[in-house]
Amino acid sequence: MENTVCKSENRKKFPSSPTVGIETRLIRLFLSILLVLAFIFFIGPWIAQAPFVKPLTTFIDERNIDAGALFYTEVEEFSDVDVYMRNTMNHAPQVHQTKP
Amino acid sequence: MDQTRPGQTPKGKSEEVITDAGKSRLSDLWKTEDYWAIWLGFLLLIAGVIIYLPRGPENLKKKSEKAEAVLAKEKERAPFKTIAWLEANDSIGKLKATDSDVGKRIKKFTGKPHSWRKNPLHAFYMNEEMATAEKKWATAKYELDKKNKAVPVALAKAEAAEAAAEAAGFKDEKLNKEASTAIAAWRDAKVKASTAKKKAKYKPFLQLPYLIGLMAAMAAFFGIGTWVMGRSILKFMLGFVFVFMLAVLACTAASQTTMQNLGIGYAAWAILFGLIISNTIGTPKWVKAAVQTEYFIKTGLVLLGAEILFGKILEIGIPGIFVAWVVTPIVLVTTYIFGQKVLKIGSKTLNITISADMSVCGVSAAIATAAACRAKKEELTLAVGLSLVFTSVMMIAMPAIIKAVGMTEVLGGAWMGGTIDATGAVAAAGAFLGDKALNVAATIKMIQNVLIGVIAFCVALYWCAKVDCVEGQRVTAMEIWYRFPKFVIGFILASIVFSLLAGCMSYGESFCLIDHGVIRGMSKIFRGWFFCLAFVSIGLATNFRELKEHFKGGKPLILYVCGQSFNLILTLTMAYIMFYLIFPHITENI
Repeated sequence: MENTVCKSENRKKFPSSPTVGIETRLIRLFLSILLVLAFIFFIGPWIAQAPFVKPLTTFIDERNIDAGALFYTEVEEFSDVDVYMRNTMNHAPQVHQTKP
Repeated sequence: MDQTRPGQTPKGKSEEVITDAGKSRLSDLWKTEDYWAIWLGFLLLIAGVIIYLPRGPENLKKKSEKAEAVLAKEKERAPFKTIAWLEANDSIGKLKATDSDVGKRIKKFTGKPHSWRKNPLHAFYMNEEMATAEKKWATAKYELDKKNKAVPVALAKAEAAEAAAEAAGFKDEKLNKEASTAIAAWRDAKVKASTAKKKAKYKPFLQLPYLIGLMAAMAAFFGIGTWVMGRSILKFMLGFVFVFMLAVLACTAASQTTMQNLGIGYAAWAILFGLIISNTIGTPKWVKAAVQTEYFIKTGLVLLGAEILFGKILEIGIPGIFVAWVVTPIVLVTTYIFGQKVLKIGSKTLNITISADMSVCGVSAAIATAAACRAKKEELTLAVGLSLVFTSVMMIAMPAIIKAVGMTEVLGGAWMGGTIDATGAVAAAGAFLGDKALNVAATIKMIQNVLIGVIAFCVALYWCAKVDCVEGQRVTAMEIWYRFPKFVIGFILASIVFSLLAGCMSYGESFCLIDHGVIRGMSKIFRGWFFCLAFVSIGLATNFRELKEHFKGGKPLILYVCGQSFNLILTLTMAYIMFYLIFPHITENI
């Protein structure tokens, strides 16, 4: 039976029970957790400080932007842009009144 | 009960024959997940309408009309956006029903773990002393005092420059340009001060009791449907504790400031944590009853439907529609055909999910498409993984390339908005390039977000009518109805209802009550949690070995890279034609 994202009343398929012992499984879990912590506290900050990345990450930090947001309603900037662009399209200042 | 997926051959029957045994029953309304997703989703949306529609700020209509009047007056007065124009613009942006008492209480009760730097406990708890220390650190780091002092100075300069331009009757181009530059500098100072203020805002809090309360509320919320559908509610609620805790951990990881800055959101962490558990110690038996990916995703998608307001496609006029609604379907269909005919990807559902996530708007499009075509969990995981990796790369690379080649902000913004998958990354890359780039990029991405509804519906229809059947078989309308994933109807209906509701109000009212009321104060909050629960469930039910199987030969990666390359070329071409050749007057006003 397929393990689909959306199906109704179908049997769920889970990874089959590992054949390795409990100690090995716990060690794997522990190592995975260590890797995650290493990424969050060491590898991630190192990447963020890389010369080609730092200007952008510093900017994102200062502007308080959630760069991981999935949809426009999760990003505050989109709300400001929504208002601004709507007003720009509907109330654009008259640009051709000047002399050089 | 026949467990066959609609359109598949039941067990024991010949593989050559598809039995058209489709039947809709009245009991489906309370016995199937699709319908429960609709009932639960609409329950929250109706609650949102009841809560927020009567709770706009005092004199909402008057304030909105006053702002519109100022905008109309200022546009006639000067050939540039005056201080009064911008202040009227900002006043509309401050009208939010979520600022009401009940809105703040809902936000507090449903809040995710707070942002943290070095100490993960700060995601859940901060006492007075900790808050003061963090505030002191942030005030110094973000130079809050200096930025605050700069605003009135910049405003005074802007006012003087505008007065000089006005004295010349706004007919002196040099004075007008100086006034525009001074006003832009004031805006920049204001934004910097405002964001520094937010970064330095620390108050004592204790999140844990609210998270426990929220967990109980969600367990009960989903538990009702579980019970009526004939499953064990006790087993579900017990397992839900574990799933919810993993979701909270995922949100905690995502709220770490460096992870936020790198664009690694809760989706990635939720899948990862689920995968770690399932592929090391194994998903515990007592948790399995709550690993309900489909249930969480479908309910989340019905809520997402309400966030898709069709009025948004007109935000930037025809150029935006061409870049977002013409290029995107062309790229989607072309990439799919390429995957089928050239790469010969074995799974059509994997193909369409990757094509949608790459061409539309990343993870949210992947979820909707995967659900519509009944893709496998591993396929969605793969599509999401590819999207997140390339989003991070493009978020960093594209602004650098745009600056290096001297591309204009409008063109660069349109290019990024139409190609970078994740919405947050678009905001980051656009803002990094400049305000105009942000405005265009964000608008294009918003218009693409609206396309999700149409894509999900068309994919569901196409799959029911053409894919899920034997070649040459004629599928009747009733059979299509039987096979059609019903929650997509709830998704589309939510979108239509809220688009119409927003359309019946003035812009100011719909912005306040619908966008910053029902949507951001209800739908978005719960949709975010439900998707997080779904991603955790996907991880808990996914096998690394099966994931590797789907990646065999690297075809998904080749599909993504080729499709995205085509997307980059076509989007840039269309953006240039629309913004600079056909509608340059729209570009001038941005």
